[in-house]
Formats: sequence, structure tokens, C-alpha cells
Amino acid sequence: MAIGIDMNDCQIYVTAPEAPPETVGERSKQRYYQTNPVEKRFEEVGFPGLTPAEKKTYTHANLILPVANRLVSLSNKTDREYWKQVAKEGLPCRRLKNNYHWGQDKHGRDIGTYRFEELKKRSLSQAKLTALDVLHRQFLTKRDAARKNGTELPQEDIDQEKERRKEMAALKRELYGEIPGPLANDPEWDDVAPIPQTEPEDALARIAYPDEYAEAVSYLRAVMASEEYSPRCLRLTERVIGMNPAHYTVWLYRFKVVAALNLPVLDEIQWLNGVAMDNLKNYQIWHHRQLLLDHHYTAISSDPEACKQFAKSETDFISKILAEDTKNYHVWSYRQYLVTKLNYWSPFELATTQSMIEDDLRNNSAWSHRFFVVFSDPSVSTTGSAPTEHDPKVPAEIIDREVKYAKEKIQLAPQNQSAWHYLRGVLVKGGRGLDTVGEFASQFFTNLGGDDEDVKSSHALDLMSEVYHKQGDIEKAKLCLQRLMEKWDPVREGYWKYRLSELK
Amino acid sequence: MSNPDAEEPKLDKARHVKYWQRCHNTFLPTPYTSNDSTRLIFAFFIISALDLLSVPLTAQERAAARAWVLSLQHPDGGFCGSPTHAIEGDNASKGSANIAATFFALILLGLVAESEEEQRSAFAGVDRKALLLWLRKLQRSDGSFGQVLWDGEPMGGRDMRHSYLASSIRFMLRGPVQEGDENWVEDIDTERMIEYIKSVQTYDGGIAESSTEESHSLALLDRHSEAFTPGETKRALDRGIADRPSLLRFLAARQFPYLAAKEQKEDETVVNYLEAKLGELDLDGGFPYTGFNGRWNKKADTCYTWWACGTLRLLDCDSFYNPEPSCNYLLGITQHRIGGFGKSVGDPPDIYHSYLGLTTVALLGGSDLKEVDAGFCCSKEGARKIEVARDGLLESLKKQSEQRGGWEADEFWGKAAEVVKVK
Repeated sequence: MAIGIDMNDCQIYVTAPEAPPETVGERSKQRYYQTNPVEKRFEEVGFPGLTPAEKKTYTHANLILPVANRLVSLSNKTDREYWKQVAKEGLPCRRLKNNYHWGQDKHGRDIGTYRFEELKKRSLSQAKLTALDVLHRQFLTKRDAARKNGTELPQEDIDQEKERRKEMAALKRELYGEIPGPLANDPEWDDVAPIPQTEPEDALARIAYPDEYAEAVSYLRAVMASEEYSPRCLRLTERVIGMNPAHYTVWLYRFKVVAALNLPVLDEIQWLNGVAMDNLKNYQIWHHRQLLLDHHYTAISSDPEACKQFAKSETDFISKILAEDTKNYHVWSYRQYLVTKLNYWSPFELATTQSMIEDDLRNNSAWSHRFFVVFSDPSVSTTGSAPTEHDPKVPAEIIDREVKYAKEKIQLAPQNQSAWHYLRGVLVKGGRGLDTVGEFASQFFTNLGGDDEDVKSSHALDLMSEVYHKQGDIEKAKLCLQRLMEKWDPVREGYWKYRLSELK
Repeated sequence: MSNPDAEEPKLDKARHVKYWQRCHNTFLPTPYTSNDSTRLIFAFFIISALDLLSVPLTAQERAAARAWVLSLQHPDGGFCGSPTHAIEGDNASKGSANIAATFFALILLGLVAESEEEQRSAFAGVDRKALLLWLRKLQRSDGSFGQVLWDGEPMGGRDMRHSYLASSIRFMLRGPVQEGDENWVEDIDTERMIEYIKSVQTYDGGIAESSTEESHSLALLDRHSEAFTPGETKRALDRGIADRPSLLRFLAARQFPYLAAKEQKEDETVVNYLEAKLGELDLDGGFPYTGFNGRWNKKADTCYTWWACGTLRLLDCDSFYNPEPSCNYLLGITQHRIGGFGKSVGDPPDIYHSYLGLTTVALLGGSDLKEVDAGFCCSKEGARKIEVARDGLLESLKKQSEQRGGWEADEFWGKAAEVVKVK
């Protein structure tokens, strides 16, 4: 294979054409051989296997290197002679190195295995990114200059920069697999140095965080640490809450931002409604709402009409959410807080419990709220009276009304736990003994211990065992518990046994 | 499930081991992002589940767990719930410690200690004084506890669980140090704590966040017993509960015959459990299942078997439930094919229910699991380690102060004077 090389532009003449290369790596290899004459033959057959002409070319080609690379300096004359000889023999003094390393792409693929069109595309993207980077730097310089003069760049420039960063992010992702998040791409956040979470490989309970979450939290940590309370922080908390509503300090921080910026509470509540609907089981949302309520109350407390209106709009929303989840603990807790705080002891509250109980007699949350509405209303009860103790301030008519109410509901569903416990609770509040409902409870069983024994309510038996006990009829009391244990409620066998052992 | 020839439900131990090893060795899937704030609790679940299953950890794994837990310690006391809430370096005080995370951090440190020496130094590195003072700040004037400090104020609900955690933390770190001792730290107000607990019992015997709210059994598992020396325990238990008989009725009532075949067919929107027909033994053609709920009339849920049975264990009322059908519910209904437990029938496993399901099976006995301590919600072995760790910590603190004392005491200077005299 004879090769001639034009020394000026390294153009290569190949006398025996090889198959054209398909990949970048193959082309590099071919070029290497093209600029290193006889090298391939040398690899194949070794020096002794070369023809004399090849041996000469190979030797001369290697010998010229120290001078060509200026490792040896010659006098002017010798130098001229030298180059004359090199040109005459057509020796390659500029040569490509072997095993050129193209590097890897984001997938770990050797770029040498790229086809030409793939490389072209990649190079184009790289060039584009470089160009965008120049413009991006210009933007930063211009902004610095503007800020030094106490001004900001026009919105148009900022919008352009936002677009540019989006493009740069897409290119970086394509080229290097880097995922700069949306906050890093937003010039608004340039002045914040995020505090990312660094964890060792063997950390416990690691979570495969989405990249956007990891980014948002690292910015959140930074602004919380620097105690910044600004509109952008409010937006940031929304971002974090959207991905992790149980983050326990982001909510407290958000409230601080709302208070610091003096934002309208009603707007915040409007926003919160949507979040609450999407996260029914979340506690933090309702704690936040409670903080908002306290905050708002200081502004409206002297205006009864405003209080009423606010209570109304709040209960409207609560009704909506309870329609989705009738026993939601957090919602009911908040409702109690609201009623107490705004002094909203309205007939409406009692009516609500009534209609919810009618919808589902076994909705214990509604029963529980009813107990609260009836027995914590300061106009008819002693403040601070425990639910487990008699409150003489509650009028007898109210006790009568509630006893009657519970009895009606028990008639409809004699095995309903909620109504029976409500009845017991009302009697305690009224200071009345269980024996006052003995006759009522007795109708739910017949012929106890007899052959045709029938029981409609195990709760009635439980209650009557206490009534009999109080009346001194230990045998009957025992019989109730025995029959519960043996036949009517054997799942609680151990408990009934214990109750039996307590009877004396 | 209702095949009469079917074998009795059993714990598929190998699958649970696999489930927990997977949790330990790899990333939890992305949906756990919404649990990011409670990673320390999840870490406890993972390590403690492997402990209950007697899967040993390598020395390296134990050291890594220890280092990770200690990395979450807040400079002003307590532990942060997750690396998300902890900040390194100069800004460390801007992180935020959490009462539940602190409770589980301490247990975790105990659990990963193996040799006697390791156990005695398990709490080395815990800033006991700062932690106890932080705990004190979390107490409100009504006796209740918050979850985190925010601008110096206790924040979070008046959750009864916070009182439980507080008294347990106090038990783990305080010890019998007398006032006047260098290591004495000002205490939480235990009297007000008991008064508060007492005040939140509801009309149905249960306990809620406040006495007017609906009771739920999650609120119940209170550990006041642990806050006191054994002699005081009973007194505290008696005093902490306003009406013990109604509390016992409430707890006993959490269980009901679970109608497996019917519940499976049930529409998801139904919110009440299915009542068995009174007086009829309905085995659904299979085994008796006992489900537990947290509130009146609600559906069965894996974790409430734990909350009810665990509380009954603490109240010395184990006989109130029948272990076999209660276990049947867990093993036959919510145990999952891939290991772990789901919340209720048909649910995929999650870390929380998987842990409490496993712990309950261990609590109810059998199944080749380690014995459980209901108060710490981990193995009895683990609970013992925690006491060793506490004693070890107090001893080393004592030694330290003695050494410090030695430098200033007359003895030292006396000896120095003697040396000088001789010269």
C-alpha cells in the first residue's frame, strides 16, 4: 500500500481504498492508519515481515519525529535539507494518535460507536448549547450592570432568558442527562443557593424522590434558613406541598409567609380548599386552617356579622368535604374548633348532625359532634365540665330531648353501638342512672336463659347487667353477661368473663 | 379464603423477610415521597421488623444505621424526622426536630447495638441534656405535648400520642438522677401531663385529642407507666384514666367478627363494618376472623389490631381478645402475597401496616417471631437493650463529671502541693 501525503493540509491519498467507515470510531481508526503509513502492516506481520520498501518508509517515518516535534533543533541549513528530504519521500510528520477516546454519552455509550449522523446531531446540540450559554452570560452581566444602577432588566429580557434556560435545560438533558429543575431554570431564583440533601449510600429508608421534589426541597431549605418571607416563597411552599403535603414544617413556614405579607386569609382558604379536597387524610392542612382561623379571628372578632359570615362559609366547605368522607377525623375536629372559636352554637349545627345521623345511623362522628354541640354550648352547660361527669347546668328538657332522640334511633337499629353509647353519655351528663332506661333496654330481649330466648341487642344486655347489679340482683346481672359470653357476643368472651369476675 | 379444607392462615416468614430486606437495601418507591417527613420512623420499622424476624445485620449495616440516626440529631436537642428536615453545618439549628422521630431514633440506636459493650454505649453521642430540655419546651401549659418547636412554641395537635412519646422518651433518657446532681435536667410537668390525659376521656370511654372530640383508639396507647418507677406505675395508671371501666369497654368493643366473604364483595364506599347477625356463628365456611377498628362502627384495619391489643396488654387485659381469630384476620386477610401487610382486605402492603401487622402477630404469640414489648413496639430484647443503653449513658456521664470534678477538687491540687514539697 503506497501512500502519499500532502504535508500542508494533511490531505490523504489512498491508493487501495478500504470499505468506508460506518461509525465515528471506525473512521478514527482508518484515519490513524492513513496518517501512519505501514503501521497496519507492521501490526499484522511485524517488522521482519515488511518488504524492504516498507521497512524504509516505516523507519524513516519514525525517525523524522523528534525533529518534526521540535525535540531536536537543527541549524538553518540542516533544517532546510531535512524538510526537503521529508517532502521528497512524502513522509508523514503530522500523525494522528492511536485509540482516540471519544468519551461516553449520558447512557454510558461510547461515542466512538456513534454513526456520523448521530455525531453530527450531537455536535450541533453542543454548538447550540455553547451559543445559548454565551447569551445567558450576557444576560447575567447585563442584569448585574442594571442592578448596580438600581434598575431591573425589562420583562422582555427576563422572559427571553426563561425561554433560553428551558432550551438549555433540554439540551443539557439530551447531551449529558443533567436535569436542572424548573427552579434552577428560573432567573427569579438565581440569588438563592439551594441546600441540597446529601446522603451516604447506606442511609436508611431512602426514597426514590422525583427530581423536582429534591430540587424544590433544596430551595425550601435555603429560604427557610435565610428566613425569607416573600411571594416567591409562597409559591415554593405550594410546590413542595403539592408533592408532599405531610411535610410538617413547610406548612408552618407557609403560614408565616401569609402572616408576614399580610395576605388575605380568604384567598388562602380558597386555595386550601382545593388542596384539602385532594388530600382527604392529611392532618397538616387542617392545622394550617386552624392557624388561619385564629389569625383571621383577631381581625373580625369585634364584628359579629363578619364572624357569622365566616362561620357560614367555613361550614359550607366542611359540609362539602364531609359529603366526600363522612367520618373524616380532622374535618370534624376543625369543625369543633370553629364552633367554639366563633361562638357558632347555632341550631344549624344540631340540624347537621341530625341529618347526617339520619343518612347513616352508624356515623359515630356525627353522634360525637352532636354530643359536643349539645353539651359544650356555654349557654346551657358548665364550661370545662368533663364529658364523663354530671353537669347540673344542662336543663332537664335538653336531657329529655336527647334521651328521646337516642331511644328513637336505637329502635331503628337496636345493635347500633353509637346510639347506645350516646344514650349512656347523655345519662351521665344529666346525672341520671342507667336504671332510668332499664325498661326501654329490656324490650330488646325476651326470656333470657329460657328455651325461646331472643336478643335484639347485645348492648341492651350489657346495660341491663349494670342496672340489675345496681338494683342488687346479682344473679340477673350475671345471667346477662353469661348469655353475652356464651351466645350473643362471644367475640368478647374474655371481656365478659372479666365483667363477671367484677360482679360481687 | 372460605374453603373449609384450606389450611389455617400462617405467617409466610420467608416473604416477610424478603419484603423487609428489599425495604432495607433499595430505595422506597417514589409514592413514598409523601412520607418523606417520617423517614426516621420508617427506618425504625425496617430495622425492627428484621429484628423481630431474627434477620441479623452485618456490623457495617449496624454502624451505618447508627451513623445515619445520629446525623439527624438537632443541635438544640431531639432528632429530625428525615434528612429533609436536617441541615448540615452552620445552619444546623434551622433544621427541625420532631417528637415521634426522637422516640424512634432512641429505640433504633438501642436495636442496632449488639454486644454488651455496644449496648452500654448505644446512647453515646445523644445530647441527653439538650434533648430533655427540648422535650420540656414541647409541653404546653395544659399538660399536652406538641410535635415540633416553631419559634420556640410547641406546634401540632394535642395528640395523645405525643404524650405517650414524651413519657417514653423521658423514661429512656432521664433515669433516677437526683436534683443537685450535675446531670440533673429540669423535668417535664408529669402532674399536668397526667391531668391532661385524664381530661380527654370522652363520653363513650375512649380518648380523643380533646374530651369533646370523637374518641379513637390510636389516641389510647399511652405509656404513662414508663415515665415512673415501678412503685408509681400503678398509681399513675389509675390516676391517668378518669373512668377505667368505660375505657375497658371501649377497647373491648374495638373487635368484631369479620365476615371475610361478605366484606370482600363489599363496595368500597361503604364506611361501616358489616355486622354479623346476632347470635349466629358465621364462619363464612372458613375460619373465625376477628377484625379491629379504631372508632365505633368503622371498618377493620390491620393497624387497629395493634392499637387495641397493644393497649390491652399495657393495661394487663390480654384476656379481652382471642389471639387466634385476631391473627387469622391479619394472616388470612391482610397479609400480602409479596410479603408485608396491607391496611385492609385487598390492599397492597405498605411499610406502616406491614410493621404493625407483623408486630401484632408477634404480640399475639407464635409464628416464630421474637417476643414483643407493647410499650416500645419492638422486641422485648430491644426494649432491654434500651434500658442497658440508658444506664450506660448515665454511668458514663457520671464518670465524666467525676473526672471533671477531679481537676478542680482539692485532691488534685493537694497532690500537686505534696509533689512540690518533696522537691
